[in-house]
Amino acid sequence: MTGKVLVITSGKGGVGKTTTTANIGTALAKAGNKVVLIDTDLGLRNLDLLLGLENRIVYTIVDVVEERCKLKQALVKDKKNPNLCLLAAAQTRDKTAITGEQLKSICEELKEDNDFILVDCPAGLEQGFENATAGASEAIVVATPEMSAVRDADRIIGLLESKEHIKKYNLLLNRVRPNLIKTNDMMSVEDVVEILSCDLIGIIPEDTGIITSTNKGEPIVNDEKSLAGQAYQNVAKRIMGQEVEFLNIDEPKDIVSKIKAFVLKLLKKESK
Amino acid sequence: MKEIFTDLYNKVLEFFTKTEEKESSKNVARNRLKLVLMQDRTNLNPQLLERLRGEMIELLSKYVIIDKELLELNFTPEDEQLALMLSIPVIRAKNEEEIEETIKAEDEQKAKIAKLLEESQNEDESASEEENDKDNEVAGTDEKVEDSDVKNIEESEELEKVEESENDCLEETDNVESSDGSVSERKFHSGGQLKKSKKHKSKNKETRKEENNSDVQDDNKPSYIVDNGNVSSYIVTNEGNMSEERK
Repeated sequence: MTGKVLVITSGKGGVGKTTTTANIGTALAKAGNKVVLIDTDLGLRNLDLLLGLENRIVYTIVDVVEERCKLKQALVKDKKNPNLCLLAAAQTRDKTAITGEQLKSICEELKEDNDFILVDCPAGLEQGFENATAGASEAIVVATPEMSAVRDADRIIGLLESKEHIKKYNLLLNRVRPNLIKTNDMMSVEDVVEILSCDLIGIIPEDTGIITSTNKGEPIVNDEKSLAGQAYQNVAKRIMGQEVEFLNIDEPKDIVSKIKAFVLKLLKKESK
Repeated sequence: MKEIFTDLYNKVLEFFTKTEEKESSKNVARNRLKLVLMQDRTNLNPQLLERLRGEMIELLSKYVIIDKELLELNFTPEDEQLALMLSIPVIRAKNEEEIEETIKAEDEQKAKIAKLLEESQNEDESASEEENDKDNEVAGTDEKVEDSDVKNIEESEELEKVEESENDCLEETDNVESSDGSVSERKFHSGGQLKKSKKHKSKNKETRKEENNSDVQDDNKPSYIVDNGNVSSYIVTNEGNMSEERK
C-alpha cells in the first residue's frame, strides 16, 4: 500500500486548518480508509483536542524523531474509528525540534500501511511550514473569504508552486457566509477563486456547530445533519477521487428577506 | 391626492429595492485585494518605487518644467497585469536653450564624476569606494554634486600622488580624452533630435527614447516604459553606467 500525503496549510492562522484536518481525516476514515493525522504545530498543538484524544497521548512526534519510541507506539488510535490515528505534536518544544527530512521519512514510513496521511501545518511561513510540506505530494490551502486570509493564501500558493514535490494543490474555502455574500458584504466563492486562480476542493459554510463539536472533542462530520459536516464529507470524497457537486450552502431566509424577495418578484412581473 | 400616492409608492419601492443598490464592501475588498496581490507578486517595494520616482523627476525636468509635488506614480490593475501609472502635471516645456543648458551641465557633471571615478579606481581602496560612488550617483543629482565636490577636496592630494606613477597616468589621460569625446558627440546628437521633437510634439515619446538610448549607449540596463494615456515617459536606470561607459 502506498498512501497519499496531503498537507493542510493556510499561511494565516485561525482560518480552520486544524478543524479541516480533523474533519477530513475523520471522513476519510469513516469511508474505510486507513488514515494518520500528523500535527506539526510543535508547541501549539490542538489537533488532539479537536479529536478528543488529549488524554491518550503518551509519545509525540519529537519522541519519534529523537528515537525514544517507535513510530507505531506514538500513533494514538481514535476513540470511535480504529482506522484513524493521530501523531501528536510536542507541546513543550518549538518548531526547530524536527527537520523537514525527519518528517519526510516519517511520512514515507507511514505511507507503507496507510491510505492517507494528513499533515496539519502550523500558521506562518517559517520552519514549521517547511517541515510540514517536506513529505507531502499534495496540498490543501485553507482560506476564508477575507482579505487577509486570501492574501496569505496567495503567498502560500506561491511557495507551494516553487516546491517540486508538491504535485497538486487545491483551495478549500472555509467559513463562507451565504447571507453576507448575497448582500454583497463578503467576497463570493467565485471572487476568491478568480483572485487566487486555484481549483476548489471544498466550500465549507460557517457553522456554529463547529464550536460545540470542538467543545465535545468530536469532529462535525460525525453529525450527519450539519451542513459543514456534509461539506467536509464531500471534500473527503473528492480527495478519494470521486466527483461530487458542490453543496448548496444557502441559509434559510429570515421572514423580512422572504417578503422582500416575494415583493420584488411581483414588481418584476408587473414591469414586464 | 395623486401626488401623495406616487410619493408613497416610491417610498415603498425604495424600501424593497434598497439592498440591491447598496454599495458593496465586497467589491471594495476584491479590488483592494487584487491590487495588493499584484504588488506582492511583483515584489516591488516602496523604496524602489520612491527611487524610480526620483529618477523620473530628474529625467523629466530635463525637458519640461513639472510640478514635482503633484507627480503621481501608482500601480493600477489592468486586466490581468499590473500597470505602472505615471501622472505628470506639466507646467510648460522647456525651450531649446534651457534644455541645452541642463544637458550641458549634466554632461559636465558626469564627466567630472567619471574622471574622479577613474582616478579613485586606481587607488588601493578603489573596489569598495567605487560601489559607494555608484550608489550615490543613483540616489540623486543633488547628492552627486555634493559628493563630487567633497571628493574633489578630499582626493586632490591623493590624485597628485597617483599621477606620478607612469602607467596610471597614461591610462587616466586616455580615459579622460575618450570621455570628453563621447560627451561632445552626445551633445550634438541630442541637440539635433530635440529640434525634431519640438516640431512634432506627438513624437515626443520616441525622440525621448532615442535620446536616452544614445545616453546609455550599448549598456544593457533594464528600462521601464510608463504610459498614462497621453502623458508618457521613458526611464532608463543608469546605475553605474557612467563609469562603465568609458571603460
